[in-house]
Amino acid sequence: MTTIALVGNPNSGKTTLFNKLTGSSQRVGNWPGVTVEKKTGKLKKHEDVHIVDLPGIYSLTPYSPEEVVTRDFLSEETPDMVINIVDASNLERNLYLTTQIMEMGVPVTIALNMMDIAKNRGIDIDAGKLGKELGCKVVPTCALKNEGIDEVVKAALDSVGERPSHLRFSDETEKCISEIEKHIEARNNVSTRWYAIKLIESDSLAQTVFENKIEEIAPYIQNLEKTLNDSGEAIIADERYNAIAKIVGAAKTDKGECKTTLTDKIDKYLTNKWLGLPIFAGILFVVYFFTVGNPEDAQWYNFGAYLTGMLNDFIGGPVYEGAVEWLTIANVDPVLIGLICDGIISGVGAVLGFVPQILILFLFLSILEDCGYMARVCFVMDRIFRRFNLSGKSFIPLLVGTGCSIPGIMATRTIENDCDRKLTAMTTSFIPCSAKLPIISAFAAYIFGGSPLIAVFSYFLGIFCVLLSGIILKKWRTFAGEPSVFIMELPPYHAPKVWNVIKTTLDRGWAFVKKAGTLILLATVVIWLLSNFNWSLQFTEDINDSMLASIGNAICSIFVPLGFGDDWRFTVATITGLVAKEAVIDAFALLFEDGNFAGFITSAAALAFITFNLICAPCFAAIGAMKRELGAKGAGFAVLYQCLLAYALGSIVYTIASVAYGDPINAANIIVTAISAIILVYVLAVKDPFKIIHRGIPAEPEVI
Amino acid sequence: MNAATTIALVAVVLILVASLYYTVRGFRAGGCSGCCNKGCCCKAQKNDSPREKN
Repeated sequence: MTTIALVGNPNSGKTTLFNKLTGSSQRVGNWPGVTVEKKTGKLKKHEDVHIVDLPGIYSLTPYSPEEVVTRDFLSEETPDMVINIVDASNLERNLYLTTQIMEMGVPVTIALNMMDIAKNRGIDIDAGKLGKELGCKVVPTCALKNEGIDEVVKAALDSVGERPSHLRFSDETEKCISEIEKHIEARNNVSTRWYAIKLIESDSLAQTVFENKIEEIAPYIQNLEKTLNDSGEAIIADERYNAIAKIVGAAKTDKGECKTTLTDKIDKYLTNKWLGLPIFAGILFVVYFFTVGNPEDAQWYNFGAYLTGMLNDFIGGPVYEGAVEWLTIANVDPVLIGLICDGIISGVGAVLGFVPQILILFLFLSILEDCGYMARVCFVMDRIFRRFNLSGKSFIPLLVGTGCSIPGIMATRTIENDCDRKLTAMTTSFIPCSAKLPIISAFAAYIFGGSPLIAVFSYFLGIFCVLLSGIILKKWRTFAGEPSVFIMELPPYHAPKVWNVIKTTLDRGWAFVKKAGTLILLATVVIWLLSNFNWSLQFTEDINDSMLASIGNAICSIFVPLGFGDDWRFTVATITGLVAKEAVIDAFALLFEDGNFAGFITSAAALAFITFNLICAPCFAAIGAMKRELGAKGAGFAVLYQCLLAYALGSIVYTIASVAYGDPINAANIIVTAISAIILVYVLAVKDPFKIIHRGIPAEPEVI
Repeated sequence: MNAATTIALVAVVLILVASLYYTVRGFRAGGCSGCCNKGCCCKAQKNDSPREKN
């Protein structure tokens, strides 16, 4: 069995190469942090060769949790071969990692990726010369275009077992390295040289491994630092970059003039300080304009709603009526017909009806992602997030969370600052995920005349809550601290790859259908049974006599201040949303005649309902993901915080909307809104006891 | 209970058992029924969780 690890800088194309080598379909993206854990697959046509895709890393001294995964794999599980994916358009920076991997003693083959981009920039790299200078095989590739894949595999398999060469530092440093090597021993086939260099760099993980040798080797490092008048870490970095510069100088010719590219021209507007955010809001509006709408009178250009209407007609027509007719003719018991037709077909059908809208939404979002625009959104958001004690790094999980909060919560591992990581994990679910789209879309369609503004409102409400939490929670010791530094390469704009877009869209659609056929189906049956039987377990015609009605009536007064507590059905729908957010629509379909809830809620209460359901605790699966990232206590606190914030904001939204619509406001609402507003103003105004830690954060992000 | 009702009931029960099985399987794999990485990411997450490592 041979193990080949794919290692490289973030966003260098590792997962694209992994998919090509193994035939897998792991998610790829053009921002750092798409891969946050190792993934394994078998090399196509080579059953005995395992390929391991590792999270991107800039150096073998890790800072963020997902970088630790890569470092641990390389140092503890030592693969037989490393294919180092190097971005040809950023050669010097990428070789910083390459030289460190080679020092470990692991055979390395370099896949010189993105050669097309390098050529477009006028960069010419002689792969043969580069390989000769580095002492390993270098194969030019373009993983996206399937170029050089076979060659890199062949080179890698041929090189298994070969010992790579390594950089030579200055005489003083080399002397120090060799002295340290005498005091330590190799671990897991990783060379003593690599550990010695890491010890000079004061790498905490290497220091832990050789804890009992630190005192012995300290004099050598102190002597080196004294001789070269710098810290060990700086000496190694400086000498490493000097050596890399010589290697690159021999192999690279840069004919590119520093001219303004089309990407630069577009970025002038899309990442503009003042225009960036309005343009993002405008793009979201256009996306939702084509996605949401009233399915019953949608025009052809409201693709999503139009197709939803057609699907609803099909499920509610031939499928429902056909099933009723067929089961009646077969003389099936009427109660069972009710469960199958009014329960399963109507409930699951109501959720499935949103599949076209999910597909259209993710078609647009994946086009925006693949062409490079979403990476710009992170940059634009970084500027705003910094003012609220967060960084653009916190926006990446939110972006991932638009599909599903679970991978979004996982993506928080790219954040090296533990306080920021916890805070982001707690707030990722504020951004509407695909499961919340049906709620937004249904209210937009049936209460607000199909307005896409409701969807844009929901999206910005999520971002607003993240920023609000940034201010509030950063005043707690647990979350205090300087925001993470956000470094991100903005990929050049390019036409989206058709297959990438189709795959992402279909993956989202399929996940939605799968959930409807499993969890939603179970929820449907439970809701139907509870809403059709009373406590004596007798079938009841009147839904208000059911078990669900009595449960709902017992707790619905909680939501009176939010305007939708008068009708127990909205309370039940909110509670079922904890199972899965799609279940809210499922509950509407079962509890309201023809699923039509429009006549039972005011516009103001509808806005409060949307606010509460978007911000409150996510589904159980996402709570489970939070538990893994934050621990049981942390997840418990997160759920409590989310619910309280949702309740407070829901009440405030209801008050403002009622005033705007000229609706009467109940006394409970006035009291809750007043208390919520006082608490919010207080926690926002109270002095940040950890402010001193936050100073020094640059007000504006920089483009390098 | 007539034969048609029995057959329909058995069919519904089988569908429910199957959906329960796949739901539980999804949850045990990390609960990512709506996740983009088809279950594998959350499985790996359990092993690689920085919290559990600490």
